[in-house]
Amino acid sequence: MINIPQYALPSAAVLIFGIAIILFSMTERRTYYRRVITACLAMVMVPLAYILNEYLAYALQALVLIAVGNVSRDYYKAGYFRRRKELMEIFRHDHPEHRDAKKMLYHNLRDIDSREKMIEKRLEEIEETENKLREKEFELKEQMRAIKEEQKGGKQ
Amino acid sequence: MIIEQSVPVIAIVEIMSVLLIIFSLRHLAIAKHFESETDKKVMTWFMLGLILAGIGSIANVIGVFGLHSYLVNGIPFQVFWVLAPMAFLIGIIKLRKS
Repeated sequence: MINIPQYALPSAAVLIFGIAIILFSMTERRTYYRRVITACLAMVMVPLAYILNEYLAYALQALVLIAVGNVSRDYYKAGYFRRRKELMEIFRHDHPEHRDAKKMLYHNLRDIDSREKMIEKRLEEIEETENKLREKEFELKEQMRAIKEEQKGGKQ
Repeated sequence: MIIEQSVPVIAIVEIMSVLLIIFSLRHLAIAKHFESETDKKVMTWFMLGLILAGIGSIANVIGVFGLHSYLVNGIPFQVFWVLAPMAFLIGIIKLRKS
C-alpha cells in the first residue's frame, strides 16, 4: 500500500485551487477591474495553506502576489492608453497651442491629472480676472457717462 | 531538511512580497481614478487588504530576523493575513450592493 503523508492531499487541493483562481484572473475576456479582484481573492488561500504547510503557503503567497502585480500593471497600462487615446482625439489638430498638451501624453497619468487640475485652477483664475475687469469696465463706463452728463449740464 | 533551517527563503519571499504589494498599490491607486465612484470604493477596500497583507509580511520579516519591537511582539503576523481577506470580503459586499 502506498504511504501518503497526512497533509499531502489537502495541500495539493489548496495549491491546485489557488493556482486555478490565479489562472482565472488571467483570462483576457474579463475586465481588469474584475481580474484584480479575482487575483486578490486567491490570497484567501494563503492563510489556509499556512495551516497545512508553511512552505506551501509561502509558495502560494509568491504566486498570488505575482498575479496581483501583473494584473494591476496591465490595469494601469490599459487606463494610460485609454486616456492617451482620448487626449489624442482632443488634440488631433497639430496646432502650436496644443504642443504642450501633446507633450503631456508622454507623462504619467498622475502627472496628467495634476496638470489638468493646475490648468483648471488657472482657467478659474482667468475667469475671475475677466469678471473683475468686466466690473471695472462697467464702473468706468458709468463714470464716463456721469462726466458726460455733467459736461452737457454745464454747457446748457 | 535544509530548507527548514534557512531563514533567507522566508525573508526573500516576504521582502519580495512587500515590494510586489507596493508596486501593485501604486498602479491600482492610479488606475482606479478612471472607474466609477462605487468601483473606486470597492478597489479601496481591496487595496486596504493588500496593505494589511504587506504589514503581515513586514511583521514576519521582523520576526524572522528576531527584531521584535514593542508593537509587533506578541502579535503573530498571520493575524494580518487573516485581516486581509476580511477587507476583501467587505469589498465584495460593496460590489454586490452596487
